[in-house]
Amino acid sequence: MDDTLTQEPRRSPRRSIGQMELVALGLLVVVFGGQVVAPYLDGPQFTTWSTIFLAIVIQSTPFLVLGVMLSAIISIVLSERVLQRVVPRNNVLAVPVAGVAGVGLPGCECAAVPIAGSLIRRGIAPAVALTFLLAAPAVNPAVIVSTAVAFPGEWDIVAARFIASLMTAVLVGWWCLSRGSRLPLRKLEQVLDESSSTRERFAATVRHDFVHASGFLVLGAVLAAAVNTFVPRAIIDTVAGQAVLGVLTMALFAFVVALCSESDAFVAASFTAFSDTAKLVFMVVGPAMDVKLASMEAGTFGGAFARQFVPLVIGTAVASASLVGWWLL
Amino acid sequence: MVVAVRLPTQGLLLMFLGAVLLRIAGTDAYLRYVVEWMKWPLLVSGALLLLLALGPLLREDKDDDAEHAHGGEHGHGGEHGHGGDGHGHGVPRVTWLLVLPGIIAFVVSPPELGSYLAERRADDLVAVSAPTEATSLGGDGPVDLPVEEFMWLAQVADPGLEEQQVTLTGFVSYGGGEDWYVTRMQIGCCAADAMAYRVKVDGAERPERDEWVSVTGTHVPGTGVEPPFEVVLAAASVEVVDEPLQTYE
Repeated sequence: MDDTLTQEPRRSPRRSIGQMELVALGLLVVVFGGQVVAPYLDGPQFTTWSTIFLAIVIQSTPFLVLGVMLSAIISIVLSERVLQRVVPRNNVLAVPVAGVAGVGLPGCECAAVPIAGSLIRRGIAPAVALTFLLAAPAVNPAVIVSTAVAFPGEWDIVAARFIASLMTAVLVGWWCLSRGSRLPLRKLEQVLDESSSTRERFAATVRHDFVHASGFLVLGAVLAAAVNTFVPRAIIDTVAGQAVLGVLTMALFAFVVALCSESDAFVAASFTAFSDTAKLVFMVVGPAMDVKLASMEAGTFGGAFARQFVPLVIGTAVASASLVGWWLL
Repeated sequence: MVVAVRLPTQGLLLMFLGAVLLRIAGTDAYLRYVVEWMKWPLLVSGALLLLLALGPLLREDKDDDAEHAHGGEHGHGGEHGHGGDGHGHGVPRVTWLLVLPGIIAFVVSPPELGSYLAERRADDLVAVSAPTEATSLGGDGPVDLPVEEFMWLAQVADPGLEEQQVTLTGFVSYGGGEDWYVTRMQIGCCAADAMAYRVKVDGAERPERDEWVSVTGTHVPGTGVEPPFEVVLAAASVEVVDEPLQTYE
């Protein structure tokens, strides 16, 4: 399994037979020769990991495609005038507006990363675009409904999730604003300049954004599926009684398990041994930051940025959720 | 060192991923991984990926990549490439990982979740929530019930369950000793958030793990009301059945 992966990239690209031909050959071997190796790979651990890994990739890819299409529309079709009319000129005000605007993108978190990238590319302040990125997966109607279904009758939890998620997004947005140009964001520019046709630019932008995020998505899925399959919940339950350790464990678990924001409420509800605040932390950290998102953000905005942004978001999310939990729950 | 992904190869990787999505959604295989309504989004995004791949594949003989001439972004090649060989290419080297879903799909063709995960997740589930549609109980013959609904009826001590013959269908998972359960998995978004619903079967020889069975019997009164909500079914008969198309409840 691993051999196929590491060997393919090692082939030299500059022989008379190009890289593409070699990769194509490798893929054909996989497609037609796969059945020969398959019987050796059927341990229940491995097949369960494969099912969950493939499930995460398959679930996320359509949302990522949707995200890169919308992002290409923002990058190419929308005029500067429209964008400027929608976004308040004052950035301090624009940050909370972007947070609330997240209500309008009902989708998984994967769609939000390329959209935030394209907003930055179009000259929107990074702080505003990043607020949207954090808020959209957490406060949209699909997530609110699924949370209400997972916690029947407990409207305080639904409200607490909405408030804490929005608070996280806005606080991080204001922090980014205060950093201004010191934010180590990779420079994002239009993929093709104005000389190419709109159709060419559209296709190039979609492909560029997809390629820059999808490899990282797969990497995140590899890790999340492993955690999902191999880390028994019993280990997590051992700390349920302790308030602080419980909260931190739930934050860490939300980060590594990387669930879809539309279904994480059901998983949160199943942690009955934990306090409501710890469950809230799980639901606020998850959509804002997880291993899949961190990986994609490193790909889109650069590693230096991700190293600051990821811990900051997690810290803010834990603090907001704990505060709101203490106040409401 | 990992070689940078050149543009024609990018096209090939996108095409491969698109083909995998189309193949999985075109057969019923997608039901093992995601919920039913994802079929069309998968078909559409698979087709879009194929379209997207055409551009780079068709102009492979041109200079490697016209896009590199433009974006200032690409100057940061060393930043996001893991090898950092100063190649200056814009595409991150993790893009190679795009072959992995295809390899897994074609070589392993992962099955639906079964007893391995169900047994690991057995104690996660707590209270069952009310079903959206209630099956009507009563009548002479046994009533077919979803495993989850049966657990819910037991949990709320529904009087209709008394003496009522029910038939539960699911796969076999094991517990401690000789215990076994008729089990169904349920997914909210995709297989990553699966939960196991199971009912302990009493009074019948235990079948092989992951075998699909229909168990007919009656609820053992008083079981499944208190945490950990272990419901027991006193089996009258156990019949081995074919695995259903949709294995998740």
